[in-house]
Order: sequence, then C-alpha cells, then structure tokens
Amino acid sequence: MLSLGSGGGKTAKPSFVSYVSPEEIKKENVNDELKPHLLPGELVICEANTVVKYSREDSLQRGFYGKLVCTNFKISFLSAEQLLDEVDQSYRNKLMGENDISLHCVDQIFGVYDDKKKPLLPGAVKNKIPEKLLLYCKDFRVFHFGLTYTKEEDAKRLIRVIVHHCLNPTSLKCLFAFSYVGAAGGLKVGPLGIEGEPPTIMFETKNDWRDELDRTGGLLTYRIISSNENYKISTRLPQFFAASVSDDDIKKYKGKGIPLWCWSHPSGCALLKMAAFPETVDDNSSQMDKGWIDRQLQVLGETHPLNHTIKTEILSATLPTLQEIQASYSRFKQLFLPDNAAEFWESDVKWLSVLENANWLEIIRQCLKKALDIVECLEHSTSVVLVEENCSDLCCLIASLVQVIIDPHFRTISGFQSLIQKEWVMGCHCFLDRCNLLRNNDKEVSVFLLFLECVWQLLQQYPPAFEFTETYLTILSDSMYIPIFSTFLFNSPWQRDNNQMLDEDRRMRSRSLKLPSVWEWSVQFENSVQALFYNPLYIGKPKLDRFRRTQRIKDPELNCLEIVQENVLDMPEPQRQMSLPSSPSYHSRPSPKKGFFREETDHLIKTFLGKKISRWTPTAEDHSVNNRLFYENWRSKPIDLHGLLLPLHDGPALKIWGQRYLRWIPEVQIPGGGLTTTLNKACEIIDEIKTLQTKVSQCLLKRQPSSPNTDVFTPFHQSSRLSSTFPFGTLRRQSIKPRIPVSTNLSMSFGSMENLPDDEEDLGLL
Amino acid sequence: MSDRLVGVRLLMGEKVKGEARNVRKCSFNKQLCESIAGKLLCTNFRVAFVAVETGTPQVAEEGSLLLGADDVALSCIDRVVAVNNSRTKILTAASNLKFQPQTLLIYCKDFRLLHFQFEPDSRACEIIPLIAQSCQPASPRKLFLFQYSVEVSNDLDHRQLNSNFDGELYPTRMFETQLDWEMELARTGASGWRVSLVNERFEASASLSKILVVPRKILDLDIKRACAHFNEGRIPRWIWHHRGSDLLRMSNFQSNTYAQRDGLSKLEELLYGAQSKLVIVDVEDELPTPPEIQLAHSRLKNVCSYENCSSVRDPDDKWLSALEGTRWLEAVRLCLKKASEVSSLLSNQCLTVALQETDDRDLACLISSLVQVMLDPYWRTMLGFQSLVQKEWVEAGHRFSDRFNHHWTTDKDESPVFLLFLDCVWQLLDHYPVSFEFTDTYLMAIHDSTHILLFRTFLFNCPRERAYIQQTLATDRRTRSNLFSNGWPRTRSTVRGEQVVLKAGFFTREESSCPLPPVWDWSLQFPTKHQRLFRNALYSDTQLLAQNGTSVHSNTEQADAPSLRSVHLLSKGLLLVPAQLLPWKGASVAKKLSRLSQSLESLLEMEQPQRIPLPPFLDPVGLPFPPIPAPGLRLWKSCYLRWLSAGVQRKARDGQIAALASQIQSLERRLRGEADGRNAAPNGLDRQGNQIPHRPNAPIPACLSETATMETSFSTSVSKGRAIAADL
Repeated sequence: MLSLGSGGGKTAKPSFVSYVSPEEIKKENVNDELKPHLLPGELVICEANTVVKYSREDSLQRGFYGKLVCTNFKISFLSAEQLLDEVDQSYRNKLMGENDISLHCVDQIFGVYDDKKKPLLPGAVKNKIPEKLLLYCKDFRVFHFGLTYTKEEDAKRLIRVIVHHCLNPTSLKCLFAFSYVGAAGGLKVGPLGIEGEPPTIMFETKNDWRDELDRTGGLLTYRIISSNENYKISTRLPQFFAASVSDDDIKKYKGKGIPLWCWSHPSGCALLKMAAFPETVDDNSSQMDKGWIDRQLQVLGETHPLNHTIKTEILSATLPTLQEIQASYSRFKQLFLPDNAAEFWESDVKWLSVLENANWLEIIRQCLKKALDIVECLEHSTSVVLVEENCSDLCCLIASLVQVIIDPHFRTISGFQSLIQKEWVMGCHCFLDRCNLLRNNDKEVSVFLLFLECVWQLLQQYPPAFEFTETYLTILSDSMYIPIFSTFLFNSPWQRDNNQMLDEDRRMRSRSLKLPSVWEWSVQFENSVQALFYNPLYIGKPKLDRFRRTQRIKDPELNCLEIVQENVLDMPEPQRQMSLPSSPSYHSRPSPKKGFFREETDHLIKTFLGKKISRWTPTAEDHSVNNRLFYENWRSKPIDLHGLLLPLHDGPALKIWGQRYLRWIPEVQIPGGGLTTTLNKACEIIDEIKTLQTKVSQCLLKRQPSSPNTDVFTPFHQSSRLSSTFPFGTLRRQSIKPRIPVSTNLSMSFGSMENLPDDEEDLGLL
Repeated sequence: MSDRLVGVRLLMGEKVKGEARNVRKCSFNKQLCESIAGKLLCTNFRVAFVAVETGTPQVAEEGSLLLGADDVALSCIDRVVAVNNSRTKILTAASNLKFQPQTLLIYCKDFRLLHFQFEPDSRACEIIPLIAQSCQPASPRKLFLFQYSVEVSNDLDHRQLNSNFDGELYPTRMFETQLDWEMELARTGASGWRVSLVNERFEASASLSKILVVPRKILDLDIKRACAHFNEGRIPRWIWHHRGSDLLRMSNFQSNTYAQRDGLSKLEELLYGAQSKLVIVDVEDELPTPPEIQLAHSRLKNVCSYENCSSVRDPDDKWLSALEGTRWLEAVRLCLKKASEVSSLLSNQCLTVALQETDDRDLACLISSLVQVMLDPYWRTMLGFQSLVQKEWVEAGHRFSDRFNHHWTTDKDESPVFLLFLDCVWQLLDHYPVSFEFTDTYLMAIHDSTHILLFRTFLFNCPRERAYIQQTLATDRRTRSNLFSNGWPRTRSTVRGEQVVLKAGFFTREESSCPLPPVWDWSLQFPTKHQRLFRNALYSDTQLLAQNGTSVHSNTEQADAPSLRSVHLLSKGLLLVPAQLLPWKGASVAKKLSRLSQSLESLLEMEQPQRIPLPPFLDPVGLPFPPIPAPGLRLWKSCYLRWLSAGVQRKARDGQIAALASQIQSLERRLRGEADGRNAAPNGLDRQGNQIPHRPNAPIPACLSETATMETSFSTSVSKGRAIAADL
C-alpha cells in the first residue's frame, strides 16, 4: 500500500507528498494486470495508469495508485491494494463496484489547476492537464484523482473522453442499456423480487388493472379502457388504464381532459388525475373543452352510488413549479459535496440557515401538506381530481404519496413497487427527460427523488409501518443513474415499447430484448444485500392476505357491478373505523360542503380555463381549520400502523435523509451508532426471541433438543462494527483490535442451554 | 380526608392557600381553543386545576406521582401574566392587580404555558396575586420543601422508601463520603493519589466538597497553602483516570500572589499529579459563557413556545433559521466538540489534563462530565450517570440554586448550564442508541426534576450550603421532637486522623438522619411502571463488563524525573506552549521553556486532537466519540416541544423494541415456570409485560398495555422478512 503520510500541517490545502518517484512506481507496477470487470456489451474506451485516488477519510493527504478506466458504461478506478480491502465488504452491487461511477451518475467535473478549481466543460477542455480531476456524482460521492504522475498523453486523452462521455448530449439509442441487452442476447427475466414474495404488478396488462380495481373496490364506477392498445390514440397514455368515460370521448380528446383513475378509497370515492387541455387561442374550442370537463365531473358525481362530491385540485396553483424544485435541489445538493474536511467544518457554523435557504425541506413540506389535504378529502368521501398540464409530474408525486399514506398495501415492498409502476411508469412520467440521461435538454427535475424524499419522511416518522428500510429507498434512488433499467429509461410506455424492439423484430412483437426492470433486484444484488431492504421492525398484516385471497377467487369475467357490491359488503368495517378519524362532532356539523364543493370546482375550472389561475383563497381559512380538526382527531386516536398514516409536516418534524446525502462524508459518520445499530439490535433481539420460543416449544413437547435449527436470523453485523452510514461508505481502515462480541446470545444454538448466560440456573433445572 | 374535598392529592405538609371556582382551562394543544371548566387551586407547593366533570385532577397515569397532568409546581413557574381586554401585566410578588383580569397565563420553566380564563364571578383578583406571591418565596427557608421534609421525615412510609433506596444493590454513589472516592480511585486504577480530608470543615475552600483527591506526595498542609493561589481556593484535584491519563479540575490562578520557591515546587507537584506531561485546558475558550447560554435558552424557549407555535407551523416563518438564531444548538455543538477534543487527549497517552475555568463551577462541570460519558461506559449506565452528576456537579459545587434562580434573588446569575449538559448527553444518546443504559425519558425526568424543589440534589450552591441547611433542619426537628439539640456540633468535632470506618459511620448516620431525599430516589416521583421506561431496551451491558479490564491499564512507568516535565495549553484545538502559564514569579516551569520545544515533538501528533485518526468503530472498551457536526445535531424535540402537538412525536420504533424486549422477559419467565413445573398452561406465554406505543402522541411516554395480538403478528412478519437471510 502506497499510502504516504505527510507532516500534520494544519493546511486546508491537501498536499500529496511522495517519497517514491513515479519511475520507481512504474517499474513495480502491477496495475497492468488489472482488468476492469466488464458487463456484456461494455467496451473500454481509454485508460490511464498511475492515477492517484485520494481518500477522503485521510483528509486527502494519502491515496492509492491505480488505473483509471473509462468504458462506455462507467468510469472505473482499479487498484491492486484496494481490492484486498474490499473482501470484507458485505454490500456489493453486481453492476457497480465501489470505485465505479456510471457515466450518468457524474454530475460535475472539475479540474484543479494550481490549486484552483475550474469546471471542465465539453468543448472547453484546455490543453493543460490539471493536477487533479474532481468528479462529483449524483449519488453524492466525490472522487479526487491525481494525475500528476500520469503520462501526459494518457491523461489528456482520458480527460477528453470522460468529459465527452459524461457531459455531451447523446441519443437514446446510444445509451449503454441497448448494447448491454444486445450483447447479453436478451436477459432471462428472473423472478421479480425475492421468491416467496408477492410479485410486483407491472400494470402492463388488462388483468393487472382489473385486479387493482378489484382490490380497492373501484370496479363499480370505473372500467378498464383498452382503446389505446398499441398506442392507437395517444402516445402519452399507457395501453390500458381505468376511467369512467366512453371510448369515443377518449378518441375525441386524445387523452386530454380525461379523469384517469388512480385509486379508490374504501368509502367509494376515488383519486383521479387529469391532464389539462392545452391553452388554446381559439375561444370556441376552449368553450367546448370547458363544457366537456363540466360534463365529465357531473358524470363522475352522478354515477357514484353514494353521490359523492368531487373536488378538483389544480396542482400547479399551490405547489412549487418544476423549475423551483430543480433550482432548490441543485442548491441543496451542493451542501453535501464538500471538497475537504475544512470546507465541511466551515459550513458547520451556518448549517441550519444554509439548509433553510436551499428551500428543499420546504418543498417536501408543501408536498406532504398537499397530500394531507387530499387525504382529508378522500377520508370525508370526496373524490379528488388532480389536474396538471401533462399529468405526469406532480400528479404522479401527489397521487402516489396519497396512496402510501392511506393504503398499507403500498407500504410493502411489492406494493410500493407496484405503485411506482402504476403511477410513475404507466403514468408516463418522463424519466428520460427528468433524469436528463441524454443531457440534451434543460428539463431535468428530480420529481421522483422528491417523491422518495417524501416517503422517507413518512418512513422515519413511522418506521414499523413500512416493510422496506431507508436503505431500500437509497438504493432505489441510486438505481436511477444506472442506465440499464427500463423503469427509469423512458418517457412513456410507448417510447419504451417502441425502442425495446429491434426493427426486424417489430413485426414479430418479440419481447426477447426486454430491458430488465429495476425491480429485478437480483440483477444488481445478491440476496444477502437484498435482505437489507427488509425492515426487521415491520409488522405484517395477516388480515390483508386473507382479504386479497377472497377477492382473487372471484371470477374476473363476472359482472363488475356484482363483484363490487359483494366487496362493499365484504369490507372489513372495524378496520375502516380505525382509519377514518371521523368524530361525531365533525359529522354532526351542518355541512354545506357538498354543494359548496361543487360550486368550488366549477369556479375553479372556470378560472383555470380562463387562464386566470388564482390562488384558492376564499375558503383557505375555513379549510385550514377543518384540516387541523381532521389532523387532531387522527392524532388523538391510537396509531394504527395499518391504517392511515398522516405525515407530520411541521418544520421540526422534517429531517434530512442522512443516509442518502451524508453517507460519503466521513465527518458525519457515527461509528457504532445511528439508526443502523438500532435496527441491528432489533434483529438481535428477534433472534433471542426465536431462540427462546423454540426452547419453550421444546419444553412443552418434552422432547430432547434436536439438531440446531437453521432458522436463526443473523443480524447484518456486530453492532460495534457498524457505522451510521451502513451499508454505504464503510470505513476502509480496519482496526487490528480483537472484536468483543456484543451479545453472547448470538452464537448460541438452540440445543445448548448452558450457553444462556442469564438463565443458567433456572434452565439448569430442566 | 381533606384531599378528597379539595380534589387534589396533596403531599404531606401541603396546604391549600386559595382557590377560585368557575375557571376554564384552555387547551392550546389543538388550536381549537377547547376549554374545560373547573376550579383553580393554589397550595404552598403547586398550582392545580380540578375539572368539574371528573371532580378529580387529571392524574398523569404513567407520569409523576407528585404532580398531576394539569398541575404545575410553584418552583417551575417562570412568569405569571394577567390579561384583561386592554391590559397585560406581568406579576411579581410585590405587585398588586389594579384591574379585573379575565385571563391568566402561567409560563413554566419547562416551556409549558397554562392558560386559564376566569368567569366574572370567580375570584380572579385574589388567586392571581396569590400565585404570584407563592411562586416567589420571600426567603429560602420559606420553601415548601422544608415543611415537606419535616413532615415526611416523621413519616414511616417514607422511612420505608428511604430504606428501599439505600438497600439497592448498587446504589448511586453520592461522593459525599471518603469511601466513594476511594472506590472511584480503585475502579479507574489511578495510582499516586490519596483522599484528603483537608476541606472537611470547608476551611480550605468554601465551595469545594469535603473530600478532595490530591497527589500522594503532598501533605495537607501544603494543600492548604496552595489554596491561596487559586480562585475560591479551588485547587487542582483529581477527578478521573483513564488509560494512564488523569483528569483534574481547578479554577484560575490567583496571579497576584507570590510564593516561596518551596511552595512553588509543591504547587507544581499538585498540578502534574502522577504524570510528567501536563495539558491545561481552558474550558472557557471557545465555549459560550453562562450568560450566553441563558440567552440561548430563553431564545429557545421563545421559539418553542405557544405564542410562536405559528412559527412551527407557518410555512412562511423559517423554522430552521429561527432555531439557528437561538444559538442553542451551536452551544451544544461547541460543548461536544470541546469534550471530544479533551477525550481524545486523554485516551491518547499518559498525561495529566487539567480543566481550568475562572471559578471552576460551570463549564468545567459540563466538559468534565461529558468527557467521562464519552470515554467510560460506566457513566452511561443509570447509576453511573447519577454518580457522575453527584461527582461533577453536586459535590463539585455547581451553583444549582443560583443557576436555576430558585430563590428569585437575582436574574443575572441564572443560566441553565446543567440543562445544556443534559441536551449534550441526549445528542450522544441519539447518536449511539445502544451505548446507554437509560433512555431519553430518563433524561427528561432529570430535566423536569430540576424544577421541582423537593430534592436536595439540585437545591444548593455547594456542599457547604447543603450541610448547613441539613444540619439546621436536623436541629429543628430534634428541637421539635424534644430531643437533645446539640447533636451535630459533636459529630462535627471529629479529630483529624480518626479512622475511616468511624468517620464513614458518622457520615452514614448523618446521612440517614438527613431529611432531604436525593432526586435519585425515583420511587418518590414515579411509579415503578414508569420507571421501567427509563431503561433502554437496546442497551447491552457487555460493554460495561469489558470496561473492568481497563482498570488494569494503569501507568506503571511513573515518570518521576521532573526534568522531563512539559506543559501545554489546549486552545482552539491546538496544543500551544504557553508563554507565561503559571503566573508565579520564579516558577521553575518558566526556566524550562527551552527544553519544552523538545518535548513538544513528542506531543506533535496531538496537535489537532480532532484529527487524530479515530477507530473505524466504537471500541467497547471506550474510545472517544468523535465530535458531532451540525448536520448530526438535532433539537431535543421530545423535551422542548412536548407541549406543542407539533413537536410531540413518539418514536414508534422504541416502543416496538421495548415490546420485543418484554417479550423476551415473558418468555424467560415462562421458561422458568416450566422449569419449576408450576406454570404449565400453554397460554400464559404471550400475556405479560407487553409494551406497545399505545398513545403515540402522549407527552408522557407510551403507557404499558397488554395486548397479545401484536406479538404474534410481529413474529410472523419477522419470519417473513428475515427469511431471506436464512435462505442464504
């Protein structure tokens, strides 16, 4: 290991002091033998030897020598020394190593010339070679590569290639995913998720939609529309979807202005989303459009058995614009990319106000608040129509957030994945544009990330209510920048289906070249890593399974109406009671709301179509009081982890998603502490319970203990060896001190009772 | 019983001084201004509200035994404000009301705000001034505490409680006796020190405790002389030993004194202690001063109060910058940083670290106790923590009475240094949830107890004051019960050199006759059920067991040669060679400055203590916690924001783990039952001691309830979720 120390000067400026001349290094260089781990279809574009990777943990004073390789998929740093260290790592991505950066993950590139940091931009690469190359990644890693000892032409070429491939616009067909799939000759699609788990519903077939309508009890008013099969009507709609309008109308308006069904509340009201009509200059047509929408809403209201009211929610009026979201995120992002420790400690003093100025938490707050408003409407039997220009950004965000809040099904892993499929992938969220994978537009907005942020806030407020952990969310957010998965690669299902087939195959409709979905976690991770996705504290809901099963049995070809009526009868009443915080006082109120809301919507639509989007002021006060009442009523009841989970959205309740943003900053790392240790400890305790339970049953059966049961769940690690950022950013420097086991019960097998330290005496009597 | 009539469970010796009917208590919690009708009582201990409907006060089911949910102790009242339509007046003991108030606002020291509305016919004019007068006692001796203690000490029940407390297996070490200090010396493995009784009559220093630990080489006579060179006579004295290093505390030097050459060398002996390297840490350097802490705390109170609760909700108001503006978290951050620096110094090599402060009674307490919590797992147990507070705060003479302004004498000394310490510990607890035996509920109980003046722990400015008051009390009682009254002077007049055993006997007798209970007797305040919440289910005590090994790790190589001695000053994270550190003329240190540069080399690696490579994981034997940067700091919401519905957020996870832990207990119990062959019923298994987060928003932590369903569903989910691991 060529890690060289330097005199412990207090200079903030990192300096690399080498006592070995570059020539010497080259002589004994073993790096030539290092070969990057290439995926199918991956090609090495260029490489450079004797690059130094400075390590952040050593205050950038020390580093490793190695080879920097740029392929058409990633930038990879290979070092003989570091490979040895990686043995212990439990967290491993099959696609990306620890020192690999996907080309799409690179956010900014800087060169350091004479201690000055200058951005490297395509087309403006200087001839002079920087001493250091700084790569800022979208997953908040910062790489410092020293090029001082690299051959000049290698370095020059490398920088050009990296800058070109990371920052220049490209085209969809050039994305690595296609060469990957082409070379792999079509991946065999493995099971989604882990075996034994319910599969992720992809919402690509009619049946998926039917099942979902069935599950939520929305079959009464909504039906599956298949007139867009093969994208005959609109490319901005999925092939199948649910709505309550006729096929003719859909054809007429090309998918605009149709309230698309998202989800049905047990009470029968529904959450819908609708793309607004484009603003037309033609007065006549806008009149027509307006009349159409009015009729639509009327139809929605009337067809409903319980005559629910309907509220229209124009998201652009109350939520921040996409530009604001992106601007805020880029400000926020910079907080977590300190160059060195000194810069980090400097920001320490003004941390909170800087954080506030970034406004990102405020945007999260507004989203949670909006979702809360809509949840309240739904809980009070008011259907809500979300309106947005394209109905593919904030609509997706709010709709899915509302569903996570109300429906416990979406808090399981498979449910959550299905939700993303339903609302985001099939909801035509422009992942390609919003992630800016092609780097050719300025439409980059991290809407999906904002959604994950909101879910994370909920998760940290109610940890036992979710089947997944924050690690799952973090890994999901990282996967957005690995351009292999069909989930995050396209703007719409149409684009996906169009591009996924090679031209000659198109006629055959062959799906052989299907890109993997991100939900095929086995593409990225071994099972041991996937185990980290599961929250040990999650309390499963036994009822849910039974409920779903009874619904599944029903013949899908039956008359829809009948099924739903049965469903309504089947509805578990006490449970709804739990989730509905409707106090008598609320209901006994004279409620002018029903009519009122209608007026409101009409009014809104009018103003909306008249291009005068004004804030919804007239009843804001009244509304906020109701809102509070609703909230307080809910809070005064014991929390039902399988019912409604209202997020706290006040300033103090919001936190920073530490695992995602702070994981690579060594100063923030808490060795032996943090949430991870709590979860780990929980695993240990669960182990202990299992052991004891087995013992109890053995005692009851009065039989001799058989061979040790293999059903012991080992926690991920010894608590003392974990840090708060686990499983990311594991500290490389291993201590030579012997480990002291934290819990002696861990190593205990069921058979040997003497090993129980505390109950030795008691158990000895057995 | 009279308390049935009153509707409040009164304490012994508590008397109702006044009451007002037709009062409505407004609950801000829901922002809907719900109000409950009832009557308002003022006793000599508390202000209580009794609702009409129930007839009894709202008893906090799991909370304090002393106070109901709607009660507030008089000592916890911060401000009394009377409001009329047009006028608002802050009432003091002396002021009188010139208008008919409609609303009474009581601001409490624990950030609570009580809001009462008076009907026109209620006697608002009488009770409001009464409350204002009662909460500001005219003299310290008028505190309810003394009446209470006199009554209670005659009570047999309390005797029993007391004996319970004393009979605990490992009681809190009060550090009031020689034995405790000797045990501490033995526990930490420090050598070269002895326990001195030089201050037994508080002659050497009025503010120090009776027992001092000093270098073995120094005679008591020299110590008395040395006292002149330090503020308030607070000489350098041993506090703690860790891995060959000693921690000392002292006040600033009195620079205007002149010492003989002989005396100087003794002074240096005193400073260096058992080591040859000395680092003096000026704890006031970089840290906020007590007035600044007070300012930060009052700003924090402002931000977290009802009046500004709009800032918690209102999107336009900037919560984070408001929080930053309080500078409270900044103070927490700086304290933790300083403590982390000192602890990395201590754990690094054999040296003496002396904490120095002007009067050695505020920040030095904070830093030294934080350092010890960071390094030594023993102090992270409940009894250890209590002992630590005794050692570093109570016996070291932190001016609790002045800092909490118990007697309303002067505002300018008020400063919640101790609460800052609790907040720092909470931050550590938040970061290292498995390393502490106690929970934040426990810290909150201590936090709240500082405002209830029934316990001797947080009542006095120094051990001398306590000793004086206790003796007077004892005398009072004896006089009252017609016993001979000259008991205490005789016990005082012990000749020095008497045997330790005898002395310990004296002290114990004095202790047992002491009528003021310590706060650590939690059974006085909380039912056992609630006390269970003090224990952290995640804690594993193996850390503590491992600690026993370190005591062996003492410094065998006693560097006796004074020529190798060096002295450094820790300032802004750097070790400096002081130009004129020891202010005495002719001090030998000054002459050796030339040699110091050499020894500095050896200390060079400690130049930036916070940059010392930290181990990748927390060593159970007790390596220091690294400093916590701002992104890691959080507001102690469960304490400061508990009265606002916005801040109340129980961690469901904690309850869950507690439920698991109690499941283990019940299983173990069952196993035991099986073993005894007594309890063979198969259904007894999942019944007992189950704890779930029943009321997620209750300010007082989740109550215990028995639900069997949760466990079964839990284990199924567990088997489902973790089955993957087993498949591997």
